[in-house]
Amino acid sequence: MSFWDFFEGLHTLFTQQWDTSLVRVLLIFVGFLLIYLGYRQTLEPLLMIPMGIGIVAVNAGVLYFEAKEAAAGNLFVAPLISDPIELMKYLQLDFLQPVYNFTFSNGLIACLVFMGIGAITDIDYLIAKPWMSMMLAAGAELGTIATLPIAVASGLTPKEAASVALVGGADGPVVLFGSIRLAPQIFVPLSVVAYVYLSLCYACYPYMIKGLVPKSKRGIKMDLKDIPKISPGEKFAFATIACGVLSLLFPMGAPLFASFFVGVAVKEARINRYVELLSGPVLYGSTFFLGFTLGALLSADIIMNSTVAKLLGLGMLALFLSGVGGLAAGMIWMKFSKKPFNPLVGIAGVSCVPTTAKVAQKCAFESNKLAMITPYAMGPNVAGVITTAILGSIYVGIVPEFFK
Amino acid sequence: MVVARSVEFAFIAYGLLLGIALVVAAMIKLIYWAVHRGSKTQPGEDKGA
Repeated sequence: MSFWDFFEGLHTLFTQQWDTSLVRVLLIFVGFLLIYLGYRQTLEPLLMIPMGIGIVAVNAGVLYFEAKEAAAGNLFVAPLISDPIELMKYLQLDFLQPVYNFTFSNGLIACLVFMGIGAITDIDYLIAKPWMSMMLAAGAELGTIATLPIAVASGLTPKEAASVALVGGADGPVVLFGSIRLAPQIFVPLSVVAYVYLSLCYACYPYMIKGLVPKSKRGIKMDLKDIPKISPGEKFAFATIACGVLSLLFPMGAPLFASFFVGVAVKEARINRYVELLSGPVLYGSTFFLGFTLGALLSADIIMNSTVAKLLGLGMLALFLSGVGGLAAGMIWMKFSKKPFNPLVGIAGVSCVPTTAKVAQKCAFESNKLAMITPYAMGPNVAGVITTAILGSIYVGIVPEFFK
Repeated sequence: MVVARSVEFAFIAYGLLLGIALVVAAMIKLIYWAVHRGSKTQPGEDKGA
């Protein structure tokens, strides 16, 4: 027994191929960076701290199984196992394997997050301004639409292209849901890219807004008295009917629609114990395991996939185009609106609830201290969740058949 | 070939999305109309038990 046998993590670092070792060290630094940025609240701490710790631990804790000549691995999770006998072995060996197999690969964790989002989402402004909300949200799906052919042109398969295009919807659970069904081979890097980029929305969108919208337009004051009050009964009726209609139209997306609208329905039916359950333990429990497991999935062998670099570029392009689409839709709506309309409301259609609505308000406030647009921005923000889920269902349901 | 087909798909998907978005918006308006039809209550007011 040599000295190195006592410290297998270090041993594997020196005995693996040099490029694998280098990527492991880089990923450990990336993990520390995410933890730091999460701690400083520059990025979303709810996700980044567990994700960063997962990345650090999984890339540091590499060991050899059984014999020295066997492949190196970790005791966290093995996502690419498909053989049932092999899977049973890993379910007993890797501590996050049950979480991955029983909540990730069937989309359960995405649905749990959606239930929690539904239970904390206020749909008042969507109901009060349905045409404006839905049209602006549709405009802000430009990245989700336009990235698909661009990704195909860059060499990805249509299913992979559809998965990466969904990043443009800026809705993490839909990216998880879509990629696990369409392209499980890129699910891990794509999900990590999506969640890191969603955090970056908050940091990058203000610069895009300032670059594309003149200051005079950014500071337009809107009339808040124009928004009618909506009763819980109306919101409850909408949630239940929309769930039925959308599930009828897109059965592939029915789990997502059911999860989101059941959250909205229990909130509007004032079933407070369910609301507490969904908005507390379910939402935060699933967000924690989502971040931690995604981090633990990001080992060197996964990131060394040649398509990862493409995913990084295409994911960013998708979010950029969605932001541009939202602002363009806002400008068009402003042109045709009879009342004063702030075009920044359009970027809230990128459905990163409530981040993009907050970004829009922050930028409006910087231009005019009296410009209060949050209530208007929440309409397209919530509508964006619905349009992204619709597009996710269209991609999951139609892409495999269309490109057969 | 596959790129041209993906462009075609993008147009179909966007058209479908716009259509469904309009249906959802119309559905909301319909619910609003149904709730307040013949009612003297103001929008936002519950009729109560």
